[in-house]
Amino acid sequence: MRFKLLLILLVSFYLSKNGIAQNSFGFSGLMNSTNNISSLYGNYEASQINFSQLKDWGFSFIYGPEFSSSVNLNIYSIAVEKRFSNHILSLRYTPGYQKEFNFNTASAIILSDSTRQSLSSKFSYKELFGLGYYFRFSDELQAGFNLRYFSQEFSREIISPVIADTIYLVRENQSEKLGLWKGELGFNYSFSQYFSAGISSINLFSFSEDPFDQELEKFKLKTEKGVMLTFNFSPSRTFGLSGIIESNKSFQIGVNGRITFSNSSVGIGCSVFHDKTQSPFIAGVIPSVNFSTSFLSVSLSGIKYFSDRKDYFSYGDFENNGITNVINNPYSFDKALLTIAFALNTIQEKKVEFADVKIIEDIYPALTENYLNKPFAVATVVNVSDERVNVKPFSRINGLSEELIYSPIISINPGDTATISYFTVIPENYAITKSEISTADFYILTSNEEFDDQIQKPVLVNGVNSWDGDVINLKYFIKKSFDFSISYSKRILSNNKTLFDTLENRLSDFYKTKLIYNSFAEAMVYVSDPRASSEYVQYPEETLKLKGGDCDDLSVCLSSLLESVGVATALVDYQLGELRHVNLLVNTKLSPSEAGLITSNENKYLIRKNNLGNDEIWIPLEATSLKRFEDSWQAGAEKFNKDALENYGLSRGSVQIIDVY
Amino acid sequence: MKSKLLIIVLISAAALLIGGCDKPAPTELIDDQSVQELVEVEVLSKEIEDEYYSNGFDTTGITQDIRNFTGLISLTGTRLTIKNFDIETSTAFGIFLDRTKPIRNSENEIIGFQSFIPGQLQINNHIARIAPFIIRFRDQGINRDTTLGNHYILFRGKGFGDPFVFNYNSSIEVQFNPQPGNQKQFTIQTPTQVIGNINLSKKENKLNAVLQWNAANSREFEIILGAKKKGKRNVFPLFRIRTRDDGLLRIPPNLLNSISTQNFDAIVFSLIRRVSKNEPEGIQNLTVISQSIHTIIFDLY
Repeated sequence: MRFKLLLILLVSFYLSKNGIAQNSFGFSGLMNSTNNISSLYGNYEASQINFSQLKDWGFSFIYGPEFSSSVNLNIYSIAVEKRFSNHILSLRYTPGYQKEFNFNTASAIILSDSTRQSLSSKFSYKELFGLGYYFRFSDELQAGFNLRYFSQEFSREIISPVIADTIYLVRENQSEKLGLWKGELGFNYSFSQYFSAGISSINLFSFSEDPFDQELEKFKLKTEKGVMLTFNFSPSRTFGLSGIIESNKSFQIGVNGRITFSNSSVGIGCSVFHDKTQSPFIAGVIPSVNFSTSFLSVSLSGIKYFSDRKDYFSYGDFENNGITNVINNPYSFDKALLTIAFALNTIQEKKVEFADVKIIEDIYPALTENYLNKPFAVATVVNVSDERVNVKPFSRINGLSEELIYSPIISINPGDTATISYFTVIPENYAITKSEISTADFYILTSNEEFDDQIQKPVLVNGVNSWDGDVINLKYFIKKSFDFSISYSKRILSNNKTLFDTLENRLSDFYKTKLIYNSFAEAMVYVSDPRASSEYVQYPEETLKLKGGDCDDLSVCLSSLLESVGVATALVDYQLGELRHVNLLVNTKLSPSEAGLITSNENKYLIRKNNLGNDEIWIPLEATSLKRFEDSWQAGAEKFNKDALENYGLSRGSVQIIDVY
Repeated sequence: MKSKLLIIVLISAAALLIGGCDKPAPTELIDDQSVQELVEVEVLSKEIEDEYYSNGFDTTGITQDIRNFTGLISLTGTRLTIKNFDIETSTAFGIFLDRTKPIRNSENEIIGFQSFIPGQLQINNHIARIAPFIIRFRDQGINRDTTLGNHYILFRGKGFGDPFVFNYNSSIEVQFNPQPGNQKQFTIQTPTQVIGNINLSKKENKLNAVLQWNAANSREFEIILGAKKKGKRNVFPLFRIRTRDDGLLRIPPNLLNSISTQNFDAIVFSLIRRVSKNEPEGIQNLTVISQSIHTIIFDLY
């Protein structure tokens, strides 16, 4: 790239030997160098890359009076531009880009009465239309190319004799129309957000028809080759300095300021230009004011030449120098111009985009409500627009649910970056037991139309029996198929109706526990996880049907059976090195003074405060002992006393008590 | 909001399109430095068969319509170039017309005036001969010859004839002895001899002619474009082109190409550099001219 730029500079140095007039002249001066919609002016003269701000469709036209001895209103140009990804095509029709010269030639017909009838000529130069193409290589480098068609019409009255029976002379109009194609190529590079520079050709190539009358050759539009260098320095959003210098040392320099409001901005600018073919040294000034919104730009500008612009000029000067530029030459008049540019976005404009998305947790379908409060992914999102936006994030995990899950809306200031959390909802009927790598689609939306950005990431969706190893999450297994547990437990209790009819009410929970445990223990056998993994947990219904399970499965099942009949339970998580074990605590709801009703051994229970601050007797149960209730209680108490109390497991955190509710 | 604005913009644009139908004002160019090629064209022979003026392409007054004069003394040095062959002649011609005695054709149009001999005319001390002045004109489809009267003449060509020699860039002494009246004597400057060259070319069946000559910036310079009718000797002077004596003229192609090969077999360019003097020595109604003429003849193929 550097080599190419160097090559272009060398070519420009070579070409600078040729004298050319100021080709960079545009009706809007250098106002369009600021990064706003006014760049849609369809100004092919100052730059080939001036459509870079276009999002989709752009329309613009320039209209205004020209001040000669009279005031003529002209439509100077109508332009339309369309973006296709990194490509932009433009078409410009320029009915007002024209210059006409009228003059009487030295030729005349002498009539028989010796009167002289002069012959007149009219030379007309028009730029009819232009085609532009812009390509964005990267955020820094852009290129533009345009092709313009000119018409040059040389209309002259000539002496035409008629030789018949008599001879006489008539004036006849003879016209030659010559087409001219001109092509330009330009590059622009942004060195930083404050400074950019570019290089563009002047008459990179031109194809012109040759006149039949060789005398007209000298009157054709001059198309000497050259280059122009451009720069734009914008140290802040409110101030900009721009300049263009051509290889013949013609130049244009402009300053502009802009005040930005919430949805609009007002700019003011002024350019002065030096044109080698015009005098004085600073040939004129182009002041302009501009009002812009995100889709509309209205500019009022003027062109004031500092030399006297008469309605008549020397033919000799015109013959010797000709003209190079149709709209800016020594014969151009002062102008006032109204420029309106309109941007129409039929495609969603991207206001925010993802910088990154991280999956922070694999999906465990069993954990259901866990995902309502805990994000499974976080995204870094950047506001690339120039306004504060509300971002609505949503996602979908393929294979888990077809539904789009929305996360809370957040606001991001222009240019800022924010972290967005993505949540999900596990469908109630999700029943896939096999874990698989799936994909999650993440979206961000700033309007009610299409999303601004989308990204897809792989995510592990575990089977419905998978557990993340966090004991607190076993409660999701406990709560699952609660109806089945209720039915199972009530059946046991109803079989012992006589007992409960005579039992003191305060011992109800203790005996419920005892009866249910004994029934449970009779039916169960201890079986390790089928996949030899501790992360596989059976639901209570599965455990009861399979009649067995490991410590997780049995504790979950027993807890579910007890909870279903109102007996409060807690899981005790023993994490002793590599070994991990889970058993239960059961709330008897007895007060410490009533402990003697169930045991005289103080080591077989522990006292915990309830929500009201009252002490209650909890008894440990080892669900895996699967013997009589007293044995299970004894085993549970011994384990708890040893690991949780004697070895300071509770203090050190290696033993945790997790209430199911 | 956007669509409303779009409509407003489109309506405004349409209104401006309809209202803004002017075009940029033109610039008038004036030839303040006389850089343009001066070409003033005048028709000489209106009737193609009229030979009134065409009393020979190598004689004096080739294009002088003597109907415009009462008295005319014309002193001419002529160079004729035909097929790279040059002939030089000297002619002194004088005529005095009685404008009260017009001669008309059958349609009562004046074709001339009766001439008379008012006395003796001497050019460089050579007494001019007196000879009849005959003109040919077209009358009712027939060429007729008629004598207007007598005129003065001295002619020398190819080393033969009268002793009068036209010296270029010099002066000629004229002595006029009216009867009755006092002798009048005066001199007239002669111009630098005009010697021209014509570059005739053909492009897409169109003739182009660029004339070059030794520029002298004289005040009176003109080019006569004439043609020779097929099978005849006489040349019709068709157009008079007044231009600057700057040494170069591109003959308007239309003039050239109007000369059809159907009717004409040669094209004739006569470059004329002239000095004029009116009423010398107070002689009323007398015009004296001295002129250099270079006539070049090209065959039309």
